[in-house]
Amino acid sequence: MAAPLETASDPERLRRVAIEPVTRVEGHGKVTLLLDEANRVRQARFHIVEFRGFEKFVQGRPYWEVPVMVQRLCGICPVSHHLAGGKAVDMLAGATALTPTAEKMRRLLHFGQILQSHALHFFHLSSPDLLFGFDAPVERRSVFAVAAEFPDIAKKGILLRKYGQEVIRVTAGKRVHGSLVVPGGVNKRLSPQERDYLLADIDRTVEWSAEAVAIARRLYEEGRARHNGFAAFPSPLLSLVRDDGALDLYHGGLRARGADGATLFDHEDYATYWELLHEVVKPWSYMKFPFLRALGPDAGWYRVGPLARLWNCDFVPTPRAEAERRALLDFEGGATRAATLAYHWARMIEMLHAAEGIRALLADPDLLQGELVVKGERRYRGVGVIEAPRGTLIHHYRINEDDQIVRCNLIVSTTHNNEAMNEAVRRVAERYLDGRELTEGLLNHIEVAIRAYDPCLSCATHALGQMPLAVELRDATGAAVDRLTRDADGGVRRG
Amino acid sequence: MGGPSGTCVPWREFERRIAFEDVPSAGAFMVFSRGRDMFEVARNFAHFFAHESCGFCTPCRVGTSLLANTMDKLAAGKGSAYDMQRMQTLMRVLLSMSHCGLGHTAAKPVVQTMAAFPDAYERRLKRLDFEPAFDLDAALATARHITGRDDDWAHIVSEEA
Amino acid sequence: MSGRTFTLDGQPVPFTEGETVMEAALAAGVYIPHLCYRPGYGHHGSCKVCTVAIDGHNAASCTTRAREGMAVETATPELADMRRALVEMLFVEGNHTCPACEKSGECELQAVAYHIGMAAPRFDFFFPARDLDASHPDVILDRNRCILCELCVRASRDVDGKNVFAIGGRGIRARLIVNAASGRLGDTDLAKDDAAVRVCPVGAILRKGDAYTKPVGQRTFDLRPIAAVAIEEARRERERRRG
Ligand code: SF4
Ligand code: SF4
Ligand code: FES
Repeated sequence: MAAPLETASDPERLRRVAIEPVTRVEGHGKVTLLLDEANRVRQARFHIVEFRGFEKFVQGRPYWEVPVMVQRLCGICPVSHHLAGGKAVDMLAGATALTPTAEKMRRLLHFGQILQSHALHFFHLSSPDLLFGFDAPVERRSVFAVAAEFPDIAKKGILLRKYGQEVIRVTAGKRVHGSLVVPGGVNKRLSPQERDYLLADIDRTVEWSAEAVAIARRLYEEGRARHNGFAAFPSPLLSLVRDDGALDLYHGGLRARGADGATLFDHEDYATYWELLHEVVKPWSYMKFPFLRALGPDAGWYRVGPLARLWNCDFVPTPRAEAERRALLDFEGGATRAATLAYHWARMIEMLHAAEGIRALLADPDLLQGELVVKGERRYRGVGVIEAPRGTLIHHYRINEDDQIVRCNLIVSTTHNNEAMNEAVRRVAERYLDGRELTEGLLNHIEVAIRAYDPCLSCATHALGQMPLAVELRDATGAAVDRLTRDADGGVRRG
Repeated sequence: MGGPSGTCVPWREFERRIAFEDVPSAGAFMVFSRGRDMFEVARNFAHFFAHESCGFCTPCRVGTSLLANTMDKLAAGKGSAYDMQRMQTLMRVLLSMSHCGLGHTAAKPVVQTMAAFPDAYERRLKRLDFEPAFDLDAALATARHITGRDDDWAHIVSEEA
Repeated sequence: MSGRTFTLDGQPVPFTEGETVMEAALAAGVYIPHLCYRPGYGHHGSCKVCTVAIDGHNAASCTTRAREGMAVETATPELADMRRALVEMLFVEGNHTCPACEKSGECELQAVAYHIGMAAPRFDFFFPARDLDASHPDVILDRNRCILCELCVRASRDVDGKNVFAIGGRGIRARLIVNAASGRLGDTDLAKDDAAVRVCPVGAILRKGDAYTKPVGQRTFDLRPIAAVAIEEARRERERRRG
């Protein structure tokens, strides 16, 4: 079992290494490594400043506005917030079961978002690294180099993402800041023309997604020893699963497994998620630290997202993605369960699932006809949970007599993975930090570890090798002994 | 002459006459000694108009407050050449779009002191990121147009540049 | 036909005695941007967006009677710039976040802003603290988006006969107030089908339950530009009056 992160007996005497993304965009992260006298990494702190003031911002607003409003607050996966907020708002509106049309339209939108997000992450942000290796010179690790050396892969990556965006545009009206969800349903169904438009490219989308899985798998297999071991650690896993245990990204009950794979809880109603998950606040971070109540704050941290979902569910309900999931699980006796870098492989399997899921939905006549909205008895508390591209996303609102939001709590995917990212960074630093010297190699490896979790940070939207970072090395007295900065153009300078 | 919306006569023009044909007075005038900062006088008047605006029409309701806020920004030493340009725009909007005389003349103290006492404004811009590329005299073209003047005193000669 | 005309940007526009420049222009199929004017709700003249130059002098076209032979200009660069400045002022005066607003696509302020080619406002935002009144079971009043056009005031008084709304306060602190001892909409006799509820050109008075039900792409100004919508609206009002 991994050494707990906060175990350093006397953190005050540890040296600190601060790695700070320098970005003008709001929302940045910073990594601090605490070393002991023997220069061993004992603690890792990934500081994240996101979603500041959101809870305040929505106070007093009418609840039906929130699913649309939340999209503005996160530019990285607005659709996920739209849907999770929408589910919470369904509950407020007393809509217990949606019409088939409404649910399928929302699922279609969600698959579109999964497809575009996973394609973006893999092809644009991570493929240079995966294809050329993360020791390759920085000039090579760019999408342009991929386009030059692997034009076919690059082109398919762009078109896959575009297809996902088109699904979003057709269902929500716009690629960004559209709207589909209304309390208790949706505002549109597909026209036959829109359905045919999406059908035209779906077969190739499924094929290319399958090719993408093959690429991710081959890359993982080729570097198997390194990939199995890089920032690898067992941890509990959390995700939604369908009633029959299947992977379900839109709806289900909460399931958690322990680090050993044993089920901790299953099919739990997310409407009372706080009975299962607690959050602690730590003085050095703006972000909360959720943990599984059953395991306590020290051992209860967990992982969410593609890898957690594929390991957590019993099967994927689309055949090709399920076959790929089996390969992932069976690989070298289950080595991928703990492997941070297996997230990339898992992400592509999910992309294939999304593509297959879209194809199945497009064949369903419910998308073209049927009631859009159900109404019910208004309630005062609403909780909505979905599996967003990056993992479980929880929206929780409370309203007053006049339909105005009085309280709001969000737990975003990146928050769930907060402690897991710290642990990944710690593992990497432990292995690659050499004495008192900061190297570009260390910086790159830390970035690779963080990147695998696809955190929703603005600094993370730069291509790999271009995440702006400043690394500072301080000795026990707090004096800076070394400083390494990488700018957004990829150039590295000392000082 | 004639209250906050009247005519501002700087000391250089003291040979002018109080008369309907030259400087009409409406029976009231105020005298400011050279020791007074005319920028502060204009700022005070800008707040007076923002306070007096009834709020019926858009240009006056919003424009007078924007003008007063911009003057405050300059006073705080945070003004830039861009703010000067914006004040020109505000003056044009107030003059040409307002519903009644209050809005039409609300920018007059600022327009006139800008023309007559450019130093008082320039000094404040210089404190923070003064852009030499900004031509204060050219920017005053609107002010000249609004006040119907084109005499020497209505121009700024940048001696220091 | 009385045969009386004035010119609008050089083109002859016929009018009947008593008509405003705005009414005559709309009847002739010429759109002059406007916000506080709505056919059938009287002559108010507060937003000033409809300002035109009449024989060289600026005047609000919605409150100025047409006269034989007058020369009216509306499509001048100077007026275009002044109109943009006015609409920008309305944006910075309140709190408008169009992408999240349920009126988006149905909102006249937004549509006029598109029509006149407004980019980001050049003025500083006021970010005023304004209240949202959700006390009414069917209607919401969000003062953050109110542009003080007084259409609801007129509609409630003249059409609904209720006097639910008024403007209180002066200058930049002017606010739409509600005629009830508590000041709350829930304590008035406003009904959800009142003209005062329907008339709001922006997302300040909204019916509960209508939010986002029209998909993007099918909203009023997604389908037709505001000029066409306004000309059509004026035509319907003329027909209604003719009976
Ligand atoms: S009222 Fe109109 S201008 Fe204001 S936020 Fe809503 S759509 Fe935008
Ligand atoms: S609530 Fe609407 S109709 Fe009433 S004054 Fe405000 S913007 Fe105009
Ligand atoms: S429309 Fe004429 S002043 Fe508002």
